[in-house]
Amino acid sequence: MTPQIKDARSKGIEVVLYNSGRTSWKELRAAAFIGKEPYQMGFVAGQSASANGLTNGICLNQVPANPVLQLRCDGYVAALKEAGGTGNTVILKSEDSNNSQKVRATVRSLLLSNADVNGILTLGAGLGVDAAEAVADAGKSDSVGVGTIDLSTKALEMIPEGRMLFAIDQQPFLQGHYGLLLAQQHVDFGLAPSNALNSGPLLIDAKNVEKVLSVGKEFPSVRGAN
Amino acid sequence: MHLRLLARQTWFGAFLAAILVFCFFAVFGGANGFVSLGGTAGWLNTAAELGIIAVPIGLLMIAGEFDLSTGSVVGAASIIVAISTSFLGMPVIVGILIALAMGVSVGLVNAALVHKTRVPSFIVTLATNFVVAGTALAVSRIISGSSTLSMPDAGWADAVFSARWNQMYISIIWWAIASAIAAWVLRSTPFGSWIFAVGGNNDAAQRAGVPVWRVKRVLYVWTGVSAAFVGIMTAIQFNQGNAVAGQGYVFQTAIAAVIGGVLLTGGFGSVIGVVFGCMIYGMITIGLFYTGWPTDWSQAFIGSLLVLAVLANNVIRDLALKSDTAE
Repeated sequence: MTPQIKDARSKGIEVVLYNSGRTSWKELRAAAFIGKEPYQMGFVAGQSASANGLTNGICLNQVPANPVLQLRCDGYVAALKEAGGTGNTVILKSEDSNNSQKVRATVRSLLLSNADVNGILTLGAGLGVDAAEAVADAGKSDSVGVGTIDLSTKALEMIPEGRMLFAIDQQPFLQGHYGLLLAQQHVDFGLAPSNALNSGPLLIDAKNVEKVLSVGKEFPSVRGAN
Repeated sequence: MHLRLLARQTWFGAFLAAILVFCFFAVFGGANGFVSLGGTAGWLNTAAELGIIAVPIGLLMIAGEFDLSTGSVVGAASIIVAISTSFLGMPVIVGILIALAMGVSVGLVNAALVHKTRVPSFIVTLATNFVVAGTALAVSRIISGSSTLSMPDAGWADAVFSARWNQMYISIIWWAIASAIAAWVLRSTPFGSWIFAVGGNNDAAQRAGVPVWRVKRVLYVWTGVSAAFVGIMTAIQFNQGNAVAGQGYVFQTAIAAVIGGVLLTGGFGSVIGVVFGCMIYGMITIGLFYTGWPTDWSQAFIGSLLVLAVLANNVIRDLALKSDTAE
């Protein structure tokens, strides 16, 4: 989007960036930025994992070479290591990330071949559901904890059932909502925050998942989960 | 003499390559469970879903044509079943029939486009793949507001499509049935001879009175229906429809057929060979995770093993043919 943004700025059009642009918004002379902090999303996931007693985690990255996804995995591994544990990133073939059968077979094989692994983080809710099912198939529900970044109703429903530990929410609704507010306040009143705003991560676990699920039923678009 | 007869079978190279690949992972991943029941189920399940589509794709490639639209048909069929049962509240049989009808239609459209435009089917069906994927995404978002939708358990359909024993899904049995039918058609019916004739020399076949376009139309409908079948099956297995799922099948089906000894230019191949081709692909993509080797290398590794498997297949076939002429 950089050329279009530069073009807009050169014509005097005000720009607010949301979701992506954390590293470049000031340079592009955008008025403000709101988005997730990818490293923090992974880090919070790792902290939650170690708080639940997990010591050896695998982060499944289904889009290798995407810097944002890599940062999420780095954050997860770093948090586990900080708590005295260890972790690794495992690459999934992107074209197979929608193939539930393959994702499950892969996760089962990882659990069979790495007996010490007791934590899994996925970077998408569908993958998280597949990973949790694979853990159950491998008979390791008691020892292995699964968490995911981003939400789906099914993934959230697995939290109270005890099959999923947590889901990390980047709260896309806030990005859209505050993105528009930021633009309006900047154009009408000349207001703008001085730093990038973080819309996430929000940790959703057994403590607050019921609220999220009930909001999802009443206002389907607000949580961004389906 | 007996061995030589065996070696002359078109599937023998793929069979030996499959044995080699299995031994490779049994050595390097056996200690981690590759040969265990669960490990075997893992690669066999994925090979089965690939194989249900790859077997008719193999027939179509023997007849000299490609179908790269199957990936989108898988996703479209899965979202059709999910939307019709969970969002529109229809009985699951209705969703299944609509999805199968969609598979038939895509096959008919593919055949008609290839026939009328004379554009290579590689391009035509790649285009259909995009059109079907885009349509499935747009329609599902118009109807349900989302491109993925979970669906409830499906009663009798669960027994038919998602039953499993010790982690082995019923899809393996469906794969065996689909392969048996295809093998019978290819070897023992006039239609099977027409497939070879059309792929070997299209014009000569036409002059000899083979209904070339009827053969291709039937094969396109066959691949479309098979892809829809897999989409229906995965939706019911995993209680979820996903309009953009299945894209992995676009090239993996053709790859499995070629590993199994089907000639890219048509006219040569066997169903049993394709079956072994699917097993090889399944073992290679899943087996790597049993070795414990760094997964950053996985793509390079899968690619290298595929080339080796195809080369082994070719060498064995050439040896067989040479020893034949020397006699």
